[in-house]
Amino acid sequence: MSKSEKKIVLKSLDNEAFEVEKAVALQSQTIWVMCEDKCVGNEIPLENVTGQILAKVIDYCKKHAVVDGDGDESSEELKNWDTEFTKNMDQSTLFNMILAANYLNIKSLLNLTCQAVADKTKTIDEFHTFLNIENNFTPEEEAQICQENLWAFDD
Amino acid sequence: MVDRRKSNQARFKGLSKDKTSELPDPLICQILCHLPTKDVVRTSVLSTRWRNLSTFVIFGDRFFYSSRASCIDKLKLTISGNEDNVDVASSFTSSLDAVVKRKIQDLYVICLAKSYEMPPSIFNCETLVSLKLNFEPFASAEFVSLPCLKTLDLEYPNEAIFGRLVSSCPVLEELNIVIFAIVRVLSKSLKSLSICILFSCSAGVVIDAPQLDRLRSFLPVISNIRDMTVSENTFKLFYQYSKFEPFPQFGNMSRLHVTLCVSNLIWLPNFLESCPNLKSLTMFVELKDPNRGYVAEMELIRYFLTNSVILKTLTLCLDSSSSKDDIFKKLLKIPRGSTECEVLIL
Repeated sequence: MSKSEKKIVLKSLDNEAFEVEKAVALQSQTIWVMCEDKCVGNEIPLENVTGQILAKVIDYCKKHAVVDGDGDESSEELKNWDTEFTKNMDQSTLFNMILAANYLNIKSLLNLTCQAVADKTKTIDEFHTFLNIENNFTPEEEAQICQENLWAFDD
Repeated sequence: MVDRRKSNQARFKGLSKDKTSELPDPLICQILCHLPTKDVVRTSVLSTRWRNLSTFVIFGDRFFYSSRASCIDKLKLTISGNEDNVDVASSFTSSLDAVVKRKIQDLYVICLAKSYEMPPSIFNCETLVSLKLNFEPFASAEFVSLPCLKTLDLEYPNEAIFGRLVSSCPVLEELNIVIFAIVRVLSKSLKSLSICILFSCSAGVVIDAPQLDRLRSFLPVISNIRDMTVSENTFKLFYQYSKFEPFPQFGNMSRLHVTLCVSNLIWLPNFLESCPNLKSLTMFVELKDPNRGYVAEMELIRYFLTNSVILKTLTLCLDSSSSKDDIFKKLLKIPRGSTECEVLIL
């Protein structure tokens, strides 16, 4: 395989280009399918992901590609790296990371980001805000649901 | 702890609604999967849309598939109609499939959303004793065998598959159905049958069940009806019903349109007594033998004229062969219950 075939260029929504190793990019099932189908050249446009988010996704993929390939980092270390990776992300970034992981179809990253949201949102109000969902229950209905599921609301 | 919450909320408020659209349901489910069960239940108060999602995350992923539960005896599942969601629908099907593997005996599914399908395995479940479904579930039922099923409740069963379903339940004892078409009930084991006919005059039931000793209660469901059209066959069914229990009161019914043959006329008074607020009655009476001199017809007119105290108009539509004069003379002899009654002959 020639050098150019090993590299691939990912282009973000805002036209930022990232040159990455193919092995790194292929962790995304979406990109893998695109390459398999040979429907794209060496440059893959990713219309749903901004450069800021794509950079983070690539960071993640690089870390995980190295480990999966060489096995020189323990799973413990990798876990710590993952924790650090999401620890300081704000909610908006996490939200977009989830969408990106879903779009690019990177299962482990989707799991990681969803876990991070679950860890960071502890109250119902926080969930409301994060998921941008309007509470359309009347106070009476809400009270009834709480009553029906007392075991979950008893503390 | 309070401080942490406050700072969290402050951060969340920075996330303005126009910047982020809603996450699609599968992603919300992904997040819910990472929460403790208790928190998942708490999230059900977020929004009506969440109640379904929460249910499936908890029960689909944790309960039905978990190794903790080897058997599930009884399950009642309610899906509200406001969420017609493909992902919840597929989760619904696979959850029920898992339930069959867990040897379900008693299954009750209320599903108000469309596009939800029962897994075919439900109809080959060897353990199922009682099955209640409020929707037509048969899209994919090709092979049916329910050797233990004793009670079956169905709404709007598809005619062809319904027949196969009933005949594939060798120990079926109780059948409760809501129908709007014609269905056949052929069962050697059936003891109790309850039929409710909804808003249709083309619905009917063919019953061949030698063990049957209870036929009951399909009329109370429609007893609020205001305007009813009854075909000859349905009227016969009403009569059969009246042999098992009295008619309910149709307190709101103001218009009744009924087709009868002469031999069924004797059941009509009984039925009319259940309609205390009837304002308009239209009848088509099919005379089998017009040469009998309209005896039955005249008897019918006599019944209405003598018994109706506040009747305003009685309109008779005669066919061309009838002699108007003859009928007119006979009419004059009939005593009237109502002084204001006008008789029109067309």
